[in-house]
Amino acid sequence: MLDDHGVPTVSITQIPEITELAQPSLSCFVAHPFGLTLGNIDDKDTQRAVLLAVLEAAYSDAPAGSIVDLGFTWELDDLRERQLRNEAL
Amino acid sequence: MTETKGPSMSDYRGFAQLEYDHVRANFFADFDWTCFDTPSLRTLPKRPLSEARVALISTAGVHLPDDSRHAGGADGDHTYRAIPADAAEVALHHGGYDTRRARLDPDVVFPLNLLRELANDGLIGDVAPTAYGFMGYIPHTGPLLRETGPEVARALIGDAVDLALLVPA
Repeated sequence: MLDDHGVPTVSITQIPEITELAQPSLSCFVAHPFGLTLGNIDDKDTQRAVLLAVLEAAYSDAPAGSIVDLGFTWELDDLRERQLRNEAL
Repeated sequence: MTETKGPSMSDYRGFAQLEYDHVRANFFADFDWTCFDTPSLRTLPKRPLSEARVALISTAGVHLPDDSRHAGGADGDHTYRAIPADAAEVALHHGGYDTRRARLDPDVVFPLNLLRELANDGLIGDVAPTAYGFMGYIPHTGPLLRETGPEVARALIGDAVDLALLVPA
């Protein structure tokens, strides 16, 4: 919506199937748990890597509505899996 | 960008259906996703990243400690909180995720410190003077699309923002 007002955007998504409904101009899929979007607490290397990858994606030639998988996954525990079953916040 | 009604009940995929059922059963009986049949227009930032002014917009329920928190009821909250880019501290309230983790390290959902570091390192131009905090549970999207969203867009344009980064929690 901001794009339609003249502001270029890039979004992070943790749930592509919801993002597909809203169709923002460009989204980057990061498969991290809710509440840990950029990475784990104090994991500055991962947080910074995610942030830079997302910002750089804003300059890609992906067509409008694209959801780009940045390849970040969550291996620390099963929090994301439990959240996706609505068994954890 | 055309707003449309979503698929009929139970047509959603994966977590979209799970959350649809969860919200309708527990919070808002008439909830439905707001869907669009075409994507938002895509435009490239006018300046390269190393020169770009980047604005942060979060749906993590972030606000200044002395500002009001977002409404936590079934009707959600389409309002936003303005947060100066040099804010030393933020507060987080959101019923949809466990905010205790983000209170220990706000960068996990609200990477304002990280953006400031990228600016200091010359990887982005600078951080926009104001960041914006929404709370992601907004079942009534009309006021967001007609009022607060355009209001933020005008403010971003006024701040000469090259790129807005939208971060969910």
